[in-house]
Amino acid sequence: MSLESAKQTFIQEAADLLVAMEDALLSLEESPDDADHLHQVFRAMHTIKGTAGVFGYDPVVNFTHTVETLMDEVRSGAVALDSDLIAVLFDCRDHTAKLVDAATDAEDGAALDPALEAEGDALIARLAPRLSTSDDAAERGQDDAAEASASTNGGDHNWVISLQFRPDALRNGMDPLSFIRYLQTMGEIIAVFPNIDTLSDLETFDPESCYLGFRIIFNCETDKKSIENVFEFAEDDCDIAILPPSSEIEHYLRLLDELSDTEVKRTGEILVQIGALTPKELSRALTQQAVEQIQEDESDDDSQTPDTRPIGSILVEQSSISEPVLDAALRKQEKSREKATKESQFIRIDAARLGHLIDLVGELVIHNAAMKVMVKRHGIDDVDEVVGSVDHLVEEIRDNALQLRMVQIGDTFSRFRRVVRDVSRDLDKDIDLVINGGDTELDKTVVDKINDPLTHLVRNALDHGIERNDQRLAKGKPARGKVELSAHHDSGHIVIEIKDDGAGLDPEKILGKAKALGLVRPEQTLSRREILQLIFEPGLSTKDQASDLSGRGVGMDVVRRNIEGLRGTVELDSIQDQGTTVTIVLPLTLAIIDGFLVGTGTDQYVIPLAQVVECVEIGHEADVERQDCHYISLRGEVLPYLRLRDFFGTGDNSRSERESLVVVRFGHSKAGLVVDELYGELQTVIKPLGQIFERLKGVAGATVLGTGDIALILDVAELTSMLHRESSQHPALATQ
Amino acid sequence: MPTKSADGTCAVRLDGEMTIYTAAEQKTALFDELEHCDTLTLDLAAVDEIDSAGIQILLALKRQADQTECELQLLSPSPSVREVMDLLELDTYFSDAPLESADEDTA
Repeated sequence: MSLESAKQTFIQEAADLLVAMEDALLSLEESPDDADHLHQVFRAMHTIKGTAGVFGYDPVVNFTHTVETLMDEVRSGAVALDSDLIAVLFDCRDHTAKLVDAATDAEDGAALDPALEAEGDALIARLAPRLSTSDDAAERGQDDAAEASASTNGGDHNWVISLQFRPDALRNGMDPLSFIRYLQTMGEIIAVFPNIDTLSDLETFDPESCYLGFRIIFNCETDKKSIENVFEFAEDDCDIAILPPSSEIEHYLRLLDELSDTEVKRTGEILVQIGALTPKELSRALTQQAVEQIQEDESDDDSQTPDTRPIGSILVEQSSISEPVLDAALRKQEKSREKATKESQFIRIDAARLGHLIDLVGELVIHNAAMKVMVKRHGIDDVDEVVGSVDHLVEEIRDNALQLRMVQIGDTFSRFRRVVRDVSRDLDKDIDLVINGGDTELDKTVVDKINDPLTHLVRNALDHGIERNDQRLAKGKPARGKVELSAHHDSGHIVIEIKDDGAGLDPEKILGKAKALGLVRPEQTLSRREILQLIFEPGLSTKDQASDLSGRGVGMDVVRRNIEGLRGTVELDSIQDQGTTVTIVLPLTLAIIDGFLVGTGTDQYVIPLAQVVECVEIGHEADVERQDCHYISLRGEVLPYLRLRDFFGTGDNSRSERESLVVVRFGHSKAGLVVDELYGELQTVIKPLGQIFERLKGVAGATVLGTGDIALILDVAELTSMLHRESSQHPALATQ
Repeated sequence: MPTKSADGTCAVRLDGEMTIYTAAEQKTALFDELEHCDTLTLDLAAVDEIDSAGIQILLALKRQADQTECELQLLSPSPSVREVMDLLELDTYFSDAPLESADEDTA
């Protein structure tokens, strides 16, 4: 992995951890004692510190260290977690995010922005009184390594070495004493306890066999490996167990804690990795395990499940490691295992690669359509079956490929918990956020683009929508305001609603403003619904005073533009003193859809299939015509419709003998499109039209047909709203 | 290996080496001796070399003595014995009080 990609991983990981930390903090506000969430916060800081250290992002390391230290004390109960502290921790989270950004953006060796540094210092100063060891917290942050070495109590370097020589040791020319003499040169032998415990029966005492064993307490500042090296020559004739000093145990525990849990390792491997166990000790224990296994098999042939002792218990018995270290290693192993199962369920994929795959699938769909056309044209019946199954497979591949990019909107929604919390604090309002339908899925590219408009709408609801507590009580509403975010699927679209139970909008006020701005001519009469939609016009804001959050008159028009850029629509409904609902309707995907191919004359058009309600054959007598707008009575329902031929101004005016009416639906409004031909369903790869055609009315894009022809994809949303706008200007007809 | 016996007390004076080469012989002699007496004193002043096998015999002898409720006393260890006794901290193993070392020139 190159440094750059490692850095990207770090940025992503830090972002994920910070999101998790934020969630945990929000939950802690509700239940400050939740150990899992406390740990989550700690882990976020700890892991970011660790990884930042690898990259040498010192400001990040220093800052997160202090927070981590504090969280550690909170976890141990030394420091109480109250709402003030949580508030500071929220700020610390934000600051960490800034530091990570700054660190990863900065040129190598660039100094930290003084403003950021000051902010960090201020936060640490706020944390300092909380830390039980507040006086040295800052220093500790400065020099982690020094702290680590200081904590390992200098006096405690007593290793316990157990030696048990094998019977042939003496005959092989080994003199156990020489090893003890050699140890003396390395450090101080505190005590030696010789024994001949293996000599069970003095009657059979063979003075040339060796029964000697020693337990040595040895003071030496070295690692396990170098002690083991002393006995290298004796390893065939001697069982050696080296138990680390208690300071080393702490050291191992710390190493274990810091060990990356990206890989599931065997218990032994973990212990060898941190140096608690030497490879030789491990191989001895493994041999022992194998021997026991064989004995087990021999002694108990009936046993279906040979029960091997775990390597850990053999190691403890051999005194190779102490139990606390083993326990910690096992816990670590368990954690890695959990993580591995979790990771095997999710793979992180570069969005660009996925995008490329979907492009390719798009091409496949087009070429498949071309193949179908060719087969039909040449009348090769033999291949019909093959073509059918290929067609089916392509459809499956398309759906699955698109499914890959589908994500739940819940994550986007939950980010607003923080926004609601912060804003309601700032504004001194009491506001609840309710989230519904968080498991509704939509295309990742859509999710990414919906975030900004959503933020704006939520902030609007918080700022303008929900009234101050006293105002709410005066209106007889509960003091606690409610903002609701919900999502659901509706005919190939996702519908997102942002609903508040606040003051609502005053249509008169909007109309007045719009007239003042010249958006509406004085003589124009508008329905209540139309007046409300004016809020999306540039420059219009009903809030008399602009606040930090919203109300500057820019925003709602940007929201609408963003959403229309996604081929979606946004609508607002509001009842004064009861609340406002903003409804956003978005297509599920921006890439491939099921289309319905229709034609007028020589031109072909694609209507998104999900928006087609029905197709009806029409006679000339049914329609009522006035100006260039048409109405039809469809089973008693007045339906505005238009002729695509007239609308796009194509072909001559001769009508075909059999016209069909395609009834389309968008949201709650229906409309009819009159076409000459119905060709049927078609997998449609949406190709953008480019900037020149951006302003083209009623067209959402284009697609390449199997024949190589181009067909325009109709923008049903725009067409229906256009027809309904016209119909509302003829109220007499609308009520007919 | 000169031995002397009186009142159930045996005194053995060892000389030369106490090593793997002499271990078999010394073990037999010492364990035999221990069977015949209540107290066995070992004079180690003349032992000029001792190795692990020698130490092992002493340890085994001590254990045997404890089991048969005999008393084993080590006397005036030579410098080479002294060195090993110190290294392994054997003084307390064989008696409550530190052993008196043999004079340098006794060896």
